[in-house]
Amino acid sequence: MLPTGSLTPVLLGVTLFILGAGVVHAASSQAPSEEQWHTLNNAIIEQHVLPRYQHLADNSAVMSQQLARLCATPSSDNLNAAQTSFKTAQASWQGVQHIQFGPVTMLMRNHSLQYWPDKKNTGAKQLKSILKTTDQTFDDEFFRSASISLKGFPALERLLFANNKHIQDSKAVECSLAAAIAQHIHETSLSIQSEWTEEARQISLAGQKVLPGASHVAAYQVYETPSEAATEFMKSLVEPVEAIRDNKLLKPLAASAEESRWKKSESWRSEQSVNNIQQNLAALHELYSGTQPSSVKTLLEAAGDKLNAHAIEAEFNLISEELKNIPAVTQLNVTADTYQTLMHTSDQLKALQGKLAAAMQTLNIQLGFNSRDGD
Amino acid sequence: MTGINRRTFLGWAAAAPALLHSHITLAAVDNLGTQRFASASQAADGLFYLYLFDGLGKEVAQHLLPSRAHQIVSHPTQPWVLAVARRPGTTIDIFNYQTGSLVKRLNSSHGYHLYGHAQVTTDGRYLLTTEKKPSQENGRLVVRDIQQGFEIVKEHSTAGIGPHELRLSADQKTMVIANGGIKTKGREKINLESMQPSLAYVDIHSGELLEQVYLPPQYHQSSIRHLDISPNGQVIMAMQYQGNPGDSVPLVALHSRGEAIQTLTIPAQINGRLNQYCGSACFDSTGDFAAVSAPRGNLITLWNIKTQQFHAAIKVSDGCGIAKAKDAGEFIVSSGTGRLYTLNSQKMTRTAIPTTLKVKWDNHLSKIAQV
Repeated sequence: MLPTGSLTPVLLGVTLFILGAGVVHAASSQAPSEEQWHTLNNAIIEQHVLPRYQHLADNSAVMSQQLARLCATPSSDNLNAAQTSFKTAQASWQGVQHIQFGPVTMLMRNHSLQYWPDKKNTGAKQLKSILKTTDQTFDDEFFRSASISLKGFPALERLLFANNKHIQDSKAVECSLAAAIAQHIHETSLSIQSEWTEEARQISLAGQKVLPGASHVAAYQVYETPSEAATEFMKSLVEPVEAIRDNKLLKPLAASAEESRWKKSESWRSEQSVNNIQQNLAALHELYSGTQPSSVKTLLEAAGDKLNAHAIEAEFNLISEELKNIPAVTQLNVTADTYQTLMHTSDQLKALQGKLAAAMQTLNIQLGFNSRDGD
Repeated sequence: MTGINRRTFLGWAAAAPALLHSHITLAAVDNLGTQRFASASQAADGLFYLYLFDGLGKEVAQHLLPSRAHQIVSHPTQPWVLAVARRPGTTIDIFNYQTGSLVKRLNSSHGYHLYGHAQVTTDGRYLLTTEKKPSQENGRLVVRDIQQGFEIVKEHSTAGIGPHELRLSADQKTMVIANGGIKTKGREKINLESMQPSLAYVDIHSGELLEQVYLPPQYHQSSIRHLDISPNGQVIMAMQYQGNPGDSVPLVALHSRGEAIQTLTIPAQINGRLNQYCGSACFDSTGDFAAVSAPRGNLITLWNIKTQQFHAAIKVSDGCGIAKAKDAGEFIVSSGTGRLYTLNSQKMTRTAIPTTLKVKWDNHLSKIAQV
């Protein structure tokens, strides 16, 4: 495991030249400077991204240990402990799921960790097929060639919560596969965390010119300006809001409580679908206003839009408060009260989406033109 | 080619730095300054413009468009560029870049809409477009006679649903059409489970379907949308996968007449970053190299066509438009962030073109024929 310490060393030997290029919009005189984006990027990396990947690595390590213990000594207690560790590790993933750039996209690790939504029920088919085998070894070679739907949280959830009679048999293939998936999730988390050291360095170097004689810095620049790198973080803040609303709420909720299809929710087997949304929103809230000394919120205030800055903060608080009071949906039973509250949350997410879009304009951040609306 | 790691990729990605701060040489200034390019765009005022500029990013002409446009094509003998409305738009603006005036605004036939792409025959006589006719499931190849006031003189089937980009073969008779396979209602996709993309070769005079090829069945959700044709008739395709984002599917393919489609392998380390979406494909001036953009992955992939292998991936944020430059292995790339670059496949370099134009460049960049 690599240290996740300060980025300061990478700045040694480098003189900062903020390029200030690339602003497409008629730039508001109040939009953040490249130097301000540089400060925010480092704050987000050190206080938001790296700690969250650290949590995922730590909690997936515990999950892997608990699965190994369950397989070695099957018992109800050990099954409960394994299930609890799964929920904690999955919550850690939900807390960093919004970062969809950098090392997590290497080798489709993002989809490996969670192949969802699984519209064609690929996970179930693949699992059924592999569970028929008796002599399969679930080693690195297996995971190199295995279906992406077998490598992450959804497959493990099925084994731990849906087929848990088999998993209490230490000789059953279910148990060895579950333990292997848990270990694979942990190793994937470690790789992402480790590679973020390099990603962080690239982001930190954005807009800087290497002076002749600098010995340790890379001779290339992946991000041309701090605002270009910050755009990736702003996408991580804005884009998940619509995805959460559409995929995690509106699709399973359908038109009424009676018509709801909770099996379309994200983690219904472990009854964590609502908790997932809580984790997602808490992470987005932190990304918006939880970093020091600079945050998206403080930049928005400095850009002259205090009203929207406070409105977004209030929206996050409202949504978090409301989600806190929603009980987990059990037995696929979405009560009328829960339905109403979740639909209200959906409306609030839509309002939040609009406010964040306005904030991006104020901050002079263009989330994408061809990449978001191509043809 | 699979034995690359992330560090190597990043090295490729920005073979650029040097470039970022380097100056364009005087020889390059002479070379680029004489070349002309055009693209649709959106400006800070929210309106859509057609821009012509030289290879140094200096504006040559601009024209306000009635709506968002997609591909720009030039006329081979007149100082005209044609801006084709984006799907499901209905207008084509023909703009004279020497006088700065609108020659004509074409409207598609009643009920029809365009797919954003067009071609003009090298004799300057015919304008060909892919279009949707309401009563027909398959797309239409519409032929207009420019000498007769752009009157529609022929209309053929494209032999597939959802045609998109089209390219005229060197024989000036055969149109290569990317049938994306997607049935849409407005911009909503309504047949993703049954879609069947294809590459069709259609005789522009008789409408005869000369050849049609499909991807292997397991890749039927890889929509063939954009293509280019090399001097020797080889076709490169850029695809957009409509299935699960975690699936491992090809996004780039080659085709030569009489053969099956040859899907190209993108190293797994890079494929995962493309978000199942490639936006433009372009051969270089020799046909030995090609570039395919992946704006959702902020990458331009470079290909060695002789070996049919992935060559490199260079980072360009929101980069999509690609046009061939004069030199072998060289491309001009435009981005939604308003940047322009020169990419060189052989030197593996990315050089920023210091343009002062402040627009978001739309999906496609075209080299303009000199008249």
